[in-house]
Amino acid sequence: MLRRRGYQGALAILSDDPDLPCDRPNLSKDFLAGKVPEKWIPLKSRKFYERRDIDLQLGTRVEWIDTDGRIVRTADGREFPFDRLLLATGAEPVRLPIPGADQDHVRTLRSFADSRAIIARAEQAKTAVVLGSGFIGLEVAAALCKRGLKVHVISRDERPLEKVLGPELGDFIRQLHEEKGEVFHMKNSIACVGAGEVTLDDGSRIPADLVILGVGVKPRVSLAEGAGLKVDHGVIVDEHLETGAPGIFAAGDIARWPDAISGETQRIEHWVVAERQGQTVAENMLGARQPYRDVLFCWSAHHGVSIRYVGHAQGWDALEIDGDIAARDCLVRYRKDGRTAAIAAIGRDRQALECEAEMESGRR
Amino acid sequence: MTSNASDDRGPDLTQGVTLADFGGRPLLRGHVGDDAVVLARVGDEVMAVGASCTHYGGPLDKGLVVGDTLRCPWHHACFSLRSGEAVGAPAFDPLPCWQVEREESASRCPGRSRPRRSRCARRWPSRPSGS
Repeated sequence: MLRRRGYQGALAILSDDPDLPCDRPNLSKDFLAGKVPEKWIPLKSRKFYERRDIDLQLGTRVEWIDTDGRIVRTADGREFPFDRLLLATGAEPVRLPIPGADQDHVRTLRSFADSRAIIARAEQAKTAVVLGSGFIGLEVAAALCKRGLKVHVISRDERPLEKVLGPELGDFIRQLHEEKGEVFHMKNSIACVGAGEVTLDDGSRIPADLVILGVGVKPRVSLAEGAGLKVDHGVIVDEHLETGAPGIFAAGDIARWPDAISGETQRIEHWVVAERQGQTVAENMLGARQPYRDVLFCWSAHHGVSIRYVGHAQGWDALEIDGDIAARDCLVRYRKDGRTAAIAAIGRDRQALECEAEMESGRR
Repeated sequence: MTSNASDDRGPDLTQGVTLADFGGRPLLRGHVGDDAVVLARVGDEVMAVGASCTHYGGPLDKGLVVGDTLRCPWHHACFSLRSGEAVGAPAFDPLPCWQVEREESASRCPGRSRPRRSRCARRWPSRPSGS
């Protein structure tokens, strides 16, 4: 977006990931299931960055940010001066201290390399256990099931995705997975991981050639902290996504910014939000002073059923279901303080867009 | 997540369509040669852009016109109908644009306004008059 808006100066991306920036949603969906070739995963080729004079430094770990001196220093001793800086260090998967979880066959999923490693193991595996029934856990379960593994899902929750989507959609999603042969152990957890099986809190033992931990992520804020930026469950930014240090911005999973309507701060871990925030930061680096007010959109795929989610409901007073969930033709409204805070839709793509536009106009 | 190539191609837009062909809807999918094109009505104007979202190929004729933007029904990518620019992720690449000629009550697309290229920073020609 910087180049699109005419910025012609020096521009560098420093990433500790050795892979090209990639299409992260696909890592837990079609790519993991084996439906999409590896070459589709990088967002852009190396040539794309070269042609636009974007200095792409992969496998490069930044160690220190000097906000006064306006210099970034890498672990290998190089320095990158800056006038404008975007921190988009993302989040890393939570690794619970479960005995035996440090073995090779216990994996998390965040990066392209993680996804490839899971695929490599899945090709040799017959059984898998997924810990977690959030978006990532369930999508990984579905992908491994599609690859022919026998999958068990273990979760502390009563229902999958209940806190985000409510009990009706939670039950429906569980059913979609169970119909394909996945087995759920809710209100449970893993007590320890053996060589080829896991033992649950209730004592049951489940064969597991592969164990995936999908129990959430935590934002990578140590660089921001080290730089003296304000950090409180995320890097604190204003409505323009700028930190307290002028010209230094944060976006994506690490950024905590004020919601336009409620004034409360929020930090969102969704792909489209991260990308859109990056685009807004580019405009604001060039002086646009654009508040970030995009309505949250995310989607999740469960054995061929796509759920679209618009808005952000941190809890709700009332939940209204229009249509028929079982028929895969429904719109669920999550209402709080008299307004629709969010919707989830299946088979109602146009309506989901209309709800997004309504929420957007409510913010102008 | 690929576009459905076996859908009805819609009218040949080089032959012209009338406002009635829109059936009261703001979007009409048709084709120019082998290219799938969607016409979008914005107020009194008619604009023409590629019909497949540049993210995963979603059907833009089933999307939503908001102001002078077009949003994809699959993952809500947002495009400018005036320039084709992908102004809101998850799409990054622009849609091709076609010129629209208005003849009394008909709109037709005589041809591409520029050759298809896969690089950004394209220059978009000014819009033809007549809307």
